[in-house]
Amino acid sequence: MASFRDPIKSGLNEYYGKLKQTVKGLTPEELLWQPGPESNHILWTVWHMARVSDRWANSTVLGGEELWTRDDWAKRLGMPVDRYGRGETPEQVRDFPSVEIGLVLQYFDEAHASMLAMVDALEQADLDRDVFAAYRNESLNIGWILGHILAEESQHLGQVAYIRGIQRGFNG
Amino acid sequence: MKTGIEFESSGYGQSPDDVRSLPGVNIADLVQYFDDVRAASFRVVDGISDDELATVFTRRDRSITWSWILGHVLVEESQHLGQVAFIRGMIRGLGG
Repeated sequence: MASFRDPIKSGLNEYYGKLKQTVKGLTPEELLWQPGPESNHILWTVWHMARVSDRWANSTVLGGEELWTRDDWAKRLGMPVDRYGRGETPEQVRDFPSVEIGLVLQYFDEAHASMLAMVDALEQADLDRDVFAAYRNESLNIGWILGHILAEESQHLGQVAYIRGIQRGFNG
Repeated sequence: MKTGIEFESSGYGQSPDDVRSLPGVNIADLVQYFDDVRAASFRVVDGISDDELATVFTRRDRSITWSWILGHVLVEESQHLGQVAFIRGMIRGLGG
C-alpha cells in the first residue's frame, strides 16, 4: 500500500545516495578546503548532516537518545558530546578536527538507517502530531519535520557538490 | 517569452558557456514565474491520492513514480537553494 512514507523515503535515499557519491575520492585536503574564510568545508557539512539526521530521528521524533551518545559516536570521532553544528562560528568550522570521512560516513549510515526506520513507524495520524524540539525550544509538527529534513539535508548536499565543483571543475 | 529564454530550456545538462550566456533576466520576473509554478504544483500535489503515489511514468527512458517525483523535486530544488545561499554567503559574508 502506497503512503506518504514512500515519497519521504525516496527523497531520503536520493539525497543520501547522492551525498556518498559526491564525496567519493576526495582527499583530506579537499574535504577541509574552504572557498572563503567564513565558508563551511565539506567535512564539516557532512558531519553536520549526519548530526541533523541522528537528532531529528532519534531524539526529536522518537524521544530517545541520539546515536551520537548512545553508540559512542562522539567518542569514536574524538569530538565533544554537545557538538551539533547549528550556529557554529567560522573559527569552529576552521578548527574542525581532521576526522576520517569513512568514520563520519559510518555514523551517517547508522543515522540514515534510523531515519528510515523512524519514517517506517509513522502512521497517517502521526503527521498531525507535535513533538517538542528542546534544542530549538519549540513544538514542531511531524508532517513539517519530514519535509524540513529533506529540505535541510538537500541544501547541504547542494553545497557539498558546489564546493567539490569549485575544486575539481565541472565533471571532476 | 517574458524572460527571453527559449521555450525548451530547463538548464539540465547545460555547459558553463550556457550558464554564462543566460540572458540578464529580471529577478522579479523569475520569482513571479516561480510563484505561478509553485501554485500550480500545489494543486497537482493536492490531487494525488495515496494509491496514485505508485503510478508509473516514463521519463528519459526510466520508469518513475509519483513518490519518486515528489521526493526528487524537494531534493533537487533544495540542493540548488543550498547553492544559492552558499554563493550569497561567499559574496556577502556570514550574516550578509
